[in-house]
Amino acid sequence: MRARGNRILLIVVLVILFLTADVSPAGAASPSGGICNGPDEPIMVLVLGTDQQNRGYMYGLADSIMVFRVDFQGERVEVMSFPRDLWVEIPDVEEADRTHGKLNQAYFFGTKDMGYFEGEGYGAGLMAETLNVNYGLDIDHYIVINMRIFAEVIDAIGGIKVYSPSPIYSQHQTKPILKAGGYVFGGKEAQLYARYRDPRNVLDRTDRHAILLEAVWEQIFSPQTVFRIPELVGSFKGNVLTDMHLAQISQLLCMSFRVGEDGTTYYTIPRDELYHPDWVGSVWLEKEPGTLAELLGKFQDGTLPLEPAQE
Amino acid sequence: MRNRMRIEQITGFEMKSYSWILILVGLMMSGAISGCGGGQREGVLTAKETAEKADIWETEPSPTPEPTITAVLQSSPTPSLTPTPTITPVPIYPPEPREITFQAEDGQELAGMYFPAGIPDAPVLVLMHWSRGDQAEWEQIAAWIQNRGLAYEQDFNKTWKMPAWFPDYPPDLEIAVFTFTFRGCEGGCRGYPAGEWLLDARAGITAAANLPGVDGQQILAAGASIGADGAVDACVWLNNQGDEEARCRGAFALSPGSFLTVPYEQAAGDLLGDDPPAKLYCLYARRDDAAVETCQSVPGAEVIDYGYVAEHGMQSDSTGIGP
Repeated sequence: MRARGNRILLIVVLVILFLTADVSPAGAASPSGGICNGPDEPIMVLVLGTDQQNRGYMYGLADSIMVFRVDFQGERVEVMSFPRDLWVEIPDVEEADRTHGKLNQAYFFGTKDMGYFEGEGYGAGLMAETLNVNYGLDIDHYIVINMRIFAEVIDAIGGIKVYSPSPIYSQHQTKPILKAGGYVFGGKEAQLYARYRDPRNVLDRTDRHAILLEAVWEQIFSPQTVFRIPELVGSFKGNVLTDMHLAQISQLLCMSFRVGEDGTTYYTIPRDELYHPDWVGSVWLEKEPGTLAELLGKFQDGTLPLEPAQE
Repeated sequence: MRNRMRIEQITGFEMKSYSWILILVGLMMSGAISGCGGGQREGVLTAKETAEKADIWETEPSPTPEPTITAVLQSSPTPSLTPTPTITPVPIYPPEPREITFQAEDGQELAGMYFPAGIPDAPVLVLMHWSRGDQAEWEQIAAWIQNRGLAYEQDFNKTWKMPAWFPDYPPDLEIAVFTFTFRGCEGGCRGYPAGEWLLDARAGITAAANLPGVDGQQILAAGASIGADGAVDACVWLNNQGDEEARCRGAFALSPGSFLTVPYEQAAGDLLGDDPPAKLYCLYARRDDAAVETCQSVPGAEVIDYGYVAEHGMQSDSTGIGP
């Protein structure tokens, strides 16, 4: 379930990005003649989903953290997902009297309202720098999508069809909010479905995110919706934080169609390389420092030997 | 500063649906194309062209056949034989649109429709559709621009495509029209093969340049949404091929957004930088944020503010306003 959802996420992120991207005149991609006119060299794209409920990106935490390695020449897409509780050095926040924190806090400290990070991209910029400092990853572009925009996109595409395989409980309720079964969700319902935290829920939030993303994917690329992609771009443009040009995004979207699921490999940081320390139970540390840097170096080079995540 | 044209208030009420078409015609009439707008011209197909093109379908006689005399009488002190005039037939193709098939660079076969002009060796306008439909989206407009008495009475949902909405036709305009359907878009596009659509746009403009009865050096391209980018991208591409027999003179982009993997401002800049420079018009509706920024990203283009209509591409005026 999770692996499938994450593969679908690749497509969904690209689509949502395409629907909502701001146009950046600088850095426009020049067609190279390769597949989808993409660049000759692979590009690394940091993709973040934030927990913000408004349209802005001034503050908040990164709910999901992924890096896409897109190889236009090799016709390959690889996705690395990071645990948000990974304990890392966060550069440029010395003024906050701290040097380390959870990975998802790197976004928070970089947001505009926090005022610590002076580079480009605010939270995404500091997250990229954090990944570089800790693991040597070189990020070329970033994309940030908040929950509000995610919900608005769902409304714009006419809602999504969701099958929830188990009941969903909400805190303070004795009976399930949702029984197992099929539903049509608008944006607001999808948001709620993603956020229920009651421990009785068999599906954790990541599972439910995957279900939602799959439903979004199916709806956007359904015959009823797919031809609306260009006009939806105009409706949502500017509501996603990114440094990518629309032409680059169209290259990515084109690429996602070309490679499909067969050409996409999804990886997660192997949990057996991590542990929970005694001092804080909710964070992850490397058992052997340097292990993740080595692994991610191979990911960046396109030589990662890991087995893909299991279905 | 970019040359901005605001036409929202011209008519005193909301923008009329056909108004952007008038702009397109204005582009054609503005001198971007030499010889366009002069009515019947003395266009003569070369023997090779005639042989190549005349067999596409039967031609009809020119209403005012003007035999071309290739020998010239000269005064001479001594009597001489009167030279025999050589008459080259000037084909005028019937007005009915003809299906044209052609291939993209990757071998994909594409379907087009050719609306011949009423003059030989005519300029040609290539119309590229948006992702919600196919070349049929242009059927009414193509027939209107062709101006040879064809009108389609289908009851389109989009009232702006009904013939009754079209303004009086400019009296001196003679131009052929070519439409085609992007791959996978019959009845509306499925999927998003943007790179392949770019190939289709290039193939479409190449096919138009080689149509019988058209002057390949006088090509215009126009389109909506993905077709808007296709028109500009293909126009630039054609002019970069170094083919002296084919030249795109201008483009009209309705709601572009770098949809075909090429940055719009890059293509548009190249087009405006042509020698001689081509014309470029870019139209947006204000709520189509991507089109607003895309159009405004290119200094030197004619930017047309379509007003507060909510939609994109060929739906830019579906507000039910009467003609």
